[in-house]
Amino acid sequence: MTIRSEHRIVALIACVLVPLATCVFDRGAVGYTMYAGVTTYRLRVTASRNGAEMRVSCNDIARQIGGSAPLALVGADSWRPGRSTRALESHLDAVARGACVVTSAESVIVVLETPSSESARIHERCP
Amino acid sequence: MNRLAITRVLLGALFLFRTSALSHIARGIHAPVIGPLLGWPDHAPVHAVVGGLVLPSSIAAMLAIVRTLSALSFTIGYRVRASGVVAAGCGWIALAQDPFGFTFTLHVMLLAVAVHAFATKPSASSYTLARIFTASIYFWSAIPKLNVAWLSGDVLRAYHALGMGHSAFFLDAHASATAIATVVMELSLPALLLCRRTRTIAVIIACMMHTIVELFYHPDVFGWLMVVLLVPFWPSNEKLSPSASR
Repeated sequence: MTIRSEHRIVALIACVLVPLATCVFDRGAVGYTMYAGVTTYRLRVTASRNGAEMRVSCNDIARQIGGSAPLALVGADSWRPGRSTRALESHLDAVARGACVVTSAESVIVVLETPSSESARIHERCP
Repeated sequence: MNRLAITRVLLGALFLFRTSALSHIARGIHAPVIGPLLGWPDHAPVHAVVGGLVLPSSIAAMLAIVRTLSALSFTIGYRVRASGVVAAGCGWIALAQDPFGFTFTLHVMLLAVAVHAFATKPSASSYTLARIFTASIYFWSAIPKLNVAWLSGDVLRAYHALGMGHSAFFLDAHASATAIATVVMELSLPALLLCRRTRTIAVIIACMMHTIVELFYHPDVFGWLMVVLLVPFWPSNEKLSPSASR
């Protein structure tokens, strides 16, 4: 196979380095993980105001966060399916800020649960 | 028109389709485009972004427009290298601004545009680059499937239970056989595609695999993308220079 040095560098980046680096996006798995897995998860969001605690609906939070966040948040009060919880784990702070907007609370606790364990938790003070 | 030019035109058209509101007409889009273009600002009070830097709405809108114009330029063949790299770069910025909308289908499509921006001249070297890239996608798609959950068929059964796959291929004992066959094909295709003697049969096998997957499960535009990326493997009588200059 004939390949120029410039093309060799592009091939090294696109065919080796980028796929190796994709572990950043999906639970440490190397390669393109599309459709290779499925999981279930649940979000428990609790807001505190004047010493009282209240549950916050994920559907209400979804309306406050931009982009595609509703894809992951709608219906997440109960166990729901998803291909990965990686984006949620990495952005629980945004979920907490969304809950702050919804409730005007002093602080918010967000817990992400998977069937096997509590995956991630964040305690955020509201501005 | 040579096979690389055909690939570029089809890839650019697919890119323009998938990163605009036009994609709403397709079935199985996993993270639909919000607004007229991917990455269009939505003025929500809270944003989740990679790296913590939320772009101002005007910048996000400008990047979406620049990306679309660059993709159009890439498609028609005007300043292909620069326009392909800019289109892919702006696409990755849009994905970083919306991590919940990240899908590997979009990521691989952006990567394909970036790679084909460098494989424009119909030289042997350009074809080798385009072919190695396509072969690598099959290889790297198989690696995450090498686990018990996939190979036992549990993942496919879960897709079926969720209404995401509607075929006997996803049920009972068939699920495990389908899962194993998928991995075997994805691991074999790189070698079969890169070997000249088996190239044609490999293209047929790959197209059949994508057709079957598309019929029973709609994996975003992944099947379309891969069929486009198989074009450089088509048999042809093109005369290639070993290493044409830019």
